[in-house]
Amino acid sequence: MSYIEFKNIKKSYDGENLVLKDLTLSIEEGHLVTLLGPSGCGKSTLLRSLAGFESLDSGTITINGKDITNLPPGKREIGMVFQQYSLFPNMTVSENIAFGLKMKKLDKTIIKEKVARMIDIVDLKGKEATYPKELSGGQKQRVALARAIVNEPKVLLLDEPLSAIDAQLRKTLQKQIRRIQKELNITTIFVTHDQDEAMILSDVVHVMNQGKVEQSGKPTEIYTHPKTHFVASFMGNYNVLAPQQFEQLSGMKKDANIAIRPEVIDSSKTPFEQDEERYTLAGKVVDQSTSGNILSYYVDCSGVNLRVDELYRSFNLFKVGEEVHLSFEKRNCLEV
Amino acid sequence: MASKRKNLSYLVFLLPFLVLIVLFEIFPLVSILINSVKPVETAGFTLEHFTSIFTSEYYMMSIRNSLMIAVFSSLIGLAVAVIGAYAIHHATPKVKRFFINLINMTSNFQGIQLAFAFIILLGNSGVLVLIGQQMGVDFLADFDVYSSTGILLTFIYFQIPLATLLMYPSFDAIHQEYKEAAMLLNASNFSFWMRVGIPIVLPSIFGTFSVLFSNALAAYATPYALMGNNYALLPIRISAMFTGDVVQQVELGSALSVILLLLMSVMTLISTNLLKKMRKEG
Amino acid sequence: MQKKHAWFNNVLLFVLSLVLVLPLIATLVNSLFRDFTSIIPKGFTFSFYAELFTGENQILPVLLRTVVIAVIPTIILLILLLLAMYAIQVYFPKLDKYLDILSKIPYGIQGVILAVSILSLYSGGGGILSNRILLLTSAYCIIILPYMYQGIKNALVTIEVMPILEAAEILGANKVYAYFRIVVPSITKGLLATMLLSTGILFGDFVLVNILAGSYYKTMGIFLNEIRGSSGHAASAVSVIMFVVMLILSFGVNKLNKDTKSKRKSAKAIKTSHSKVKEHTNHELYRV
Repeated sequence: MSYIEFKNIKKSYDGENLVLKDLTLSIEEGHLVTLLGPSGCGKSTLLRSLAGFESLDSGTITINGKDITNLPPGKREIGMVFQQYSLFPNMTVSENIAFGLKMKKLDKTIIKEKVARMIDIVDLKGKEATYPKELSGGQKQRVALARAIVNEPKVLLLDEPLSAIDAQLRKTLQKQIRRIQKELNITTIFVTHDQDEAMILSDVVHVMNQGKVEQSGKPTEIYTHPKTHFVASFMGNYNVLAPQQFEQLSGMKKDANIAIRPEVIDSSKTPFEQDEERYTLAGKVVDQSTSGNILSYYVDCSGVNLRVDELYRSFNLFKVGEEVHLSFEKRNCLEV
Repeated sequence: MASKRKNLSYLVFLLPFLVLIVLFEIFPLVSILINSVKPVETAGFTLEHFTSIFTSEYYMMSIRNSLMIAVFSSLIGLAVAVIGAYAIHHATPKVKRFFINLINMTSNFQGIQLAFAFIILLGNSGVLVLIGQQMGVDFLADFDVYSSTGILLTFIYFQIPLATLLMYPSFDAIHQEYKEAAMLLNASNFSFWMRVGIPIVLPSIFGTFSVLFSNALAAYATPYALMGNNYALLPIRISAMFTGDVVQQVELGSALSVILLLLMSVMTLISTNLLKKMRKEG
Repeated sequence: MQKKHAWFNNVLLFVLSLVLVLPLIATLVNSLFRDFTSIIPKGFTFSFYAELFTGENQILPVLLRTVVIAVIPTIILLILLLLAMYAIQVYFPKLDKYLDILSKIPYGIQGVILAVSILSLYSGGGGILSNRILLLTSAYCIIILPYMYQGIKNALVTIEVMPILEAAEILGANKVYAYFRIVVPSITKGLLATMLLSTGILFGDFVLVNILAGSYYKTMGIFLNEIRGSSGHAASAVSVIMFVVMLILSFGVNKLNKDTKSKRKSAKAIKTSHSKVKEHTNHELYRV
C-alpha cells in the first residue's frame, strides 16, 4: 500500500461537469511528486481536496492507511504553500512561522527553538522581526515554506509556489525546495504547469488532463516515452503526426498517431545514406527560431510540417526556403 | 449534505445585521409607502393624500420651490464647478493642490453652520448688509437672506465644492497626450474641445448634475437653520408634518415623502440612462 | 498651451477660493471680535470661547455627547458588517449582491425621509424601540452604511482573504478565529479610516438628530441652533469649534488613506481612488 492513496475521486463544482473524473492515484512515502498539467486540468482541485478545502462527490483519500476524506484541513497533518504565499500580513516572519505551533498549544520555549531552526533551514536569519510586505517574493516564498513544514506535517503540498517568481530566482528556489525536501524526507506534492520545473524537481511526475491522470512515471520516462497524444504534445515539443501524415512521410501504415521528438531528427544538406533502422526524407525549411542554445527549424516535408531542433553550435545551417535532408531512427517514432 | 447544513448555522453571523436593516431600513421605507396610500385612522387604500397635495396651492408651492431651487442651485453650482475644474486642470500643481485642499475643507462647513455664516454676512444686521448701507450699494443693503434668493445663494454655496470635487477627476482624464495627438492632427484648440474634451467631460457633467439635484432637493439643515419651518420646501414640510407639536399628518407627510423619493429617482434614472447611452456611443 | 494660461487659471482659482471661504472667515471673525458691523472688526477677544468652556452653558459635555453618538454607531456597524461580510464571503458568496444593494439603499433615502419614517414607525409605540437615543443610534447606523460598507470592502481587497483563511485553517486555526485575528487586524488602518469618515458625517449631522431626538440628546448641531438665539458671537465660536473637529477628522481620514493606498495594487487603486472621490463627496449629502 502506498503512503497516499486517492481512490475513485469524483468532484464537480456545478453538479454537472466533473473536474475530477473517477481519479485514482498513489504516492510513495518520501517522494517529491509533481502534478503536471495545463490550467483547468484538475491538478489544483486534487491538491485542494487532499488539503481538505474541497469536499468530494465520491471517493476516498488515505494517508498512511488512515482515511482522511472527511477530516477538516487542520486535522490532516498537512503543510501547504500557496500560490500567493498567503502570509499573514499582521505578523512578523517569526510569528508567521510560529502560528501553527501556537495553534497546537506547544510550550513557548519549544516554539522558539523550532522557529529558530526553521529560519536557519530556509536561510532567513536577520529577518525574524520583518513584516511580509517588506520581503521580496523569494523571501516570502521561503517564509511560506517554513511555516508549512515547521509543524512536521506528514505531507507537504506546494500549489504552483514559484509561478510569481522570475526565472532566475526560480531556479535557485527549485533547488532549495528539493534540498529541504530531501533533508527532511517529507512526502511532497508539487503542482505546476511548467514541464521543465516538473522534470527538475520530481521523483515521479503525474501528467493530468481533463480531470484524469494521463500518465505517471519518472521524469525521463515520461519525456522519452509519452503514452498519449496529450502527454507527447505537453512534454517538450513533440511532432505528433496523424496516421495518414506519417504514411505520407514514411510509407509505413500505422494505426495510431506517431510522436517524434524534434531533437532526435538529424538534418543535413546532403542526402543521408539509406539505413534499415532509420527513416530518411527531404523537405524545405519554412521557418526557424532560436531559444537559448536551441535552434529550431520548421520543415515542410511533402505537406507535413516537422519541427527539428539542433544545438546552436554554428551559425544558421539552413536558410528559410533551403532544401534539407532529414533522418531519424525508427525506434524514436512513438505510437501515442 | 452534512457540510451544507453546517454552513446554515453561519447565518447567525448575518442575523444582527439583518435585524438592523429590516427594522431601520426596510420597515421605515415600507411604512412610508403604505402610509402614503392609507386612509387616515382606518385601513384600506386611497389616493386622496396625493390628490389633496396636487390640488393644494400650499403643497404645490413647496414642490415648485423645491424643484426651482434644486434646478437653479445645481445649474449655477455646476457652471462654477466646471469653470473651477477647468482651471484646476490647467493650474500649476501647487495651486491645484491648494485649491483641492481648500475645497475639501470648505465642504466640511455646511448645513446649519453655513446658514449661520450667511446670517452673519447677509442677515438683517449682517456685515455685508451694513457695509452696503454705509456705501450705498443697494444690492447688498436690500439683500434679504430669509427669502428664496437667500436660500438659493446658500444652496449654491454648498453645491460648488461638491460639484467641483465630482467634476475635476474627469478633466484629469483628458490627458495631455490626447491634446498633443490632436495637435499633431492639426486640430485647433476649439475643435479639440468640441470633439474630444467635451465628450469626455459630458458624462460626468450629467452624473454630477443628478447628484447635485438630489442633494438640493433633500437639503434640510440649511433652509431650516435660516427660516425654521416657515419656508415652503418639501423636506421642511415633510418634517413638520411628522414632528408637529399640534397636529401630525403622518399620511400626508408620507405622500409628500413618496413624491420627494420619486422626484429623486426619476432624476437618477434619467441620468443613469443617459450615462449608459453615452458610454455605448463613446 | 497649458503653461500660457496657467497664471489666468491660478488667479481664477484664488478668486473662487476667496468667495468660498468668505462664510468661514466671517464666522471666525465674528467669534473673535465684539463688533463686526463694518469691514474692519473691532474689539478682539477670546472671551466667547472662554465663556463656552467656563460659563453656564458649557460646550464640553455637548462635544463629548456628540463624539459618543458619532462614534458608537460606527463601532456597532463595523462589528455587524464584519460578521455579515465574513459569513457571506466564506459561506454564502451568492448573497453578496444583495448585501451590496441593501447597503446602497440609504444613498437614495435621504436623511429627512429616513428620520421621519423611523419616527412615525417607532416613537409612539412605547417599549425599548421607542427610546429616542436608540432610534437615533440605529438611524445613524443606516446613514453611514453605504460608506462603511464600501470602506470595509475596499480595505478587504487589499489582502487575499480566502487564501489567508485557508492557510490559517490548514495550520490548525478555525476560520472565525483566523478572520478576526488575522484578516481584521491586517486591515485596521483601512477600517479606521472608514470609521473616522463615518464619525465625521455623524458629527456634523443636524437633520436626523433634530427630527429624531432634538430635545432628548443635545449634540453640537442642536447646541449651535439653540445658542444662536442668545448670542451670535458665541454661536460663531461653537461653529468654529465644530469645524475644527471635523477638519481634524477628515485630516485623519486622508492620512490613513494615504498610508493604505500604497499597499493597494495599482489596478485596484485606480478603481478605488475613483470611488473614493465619490465617497468623500457623497458624505456631504446628509448634512445640508
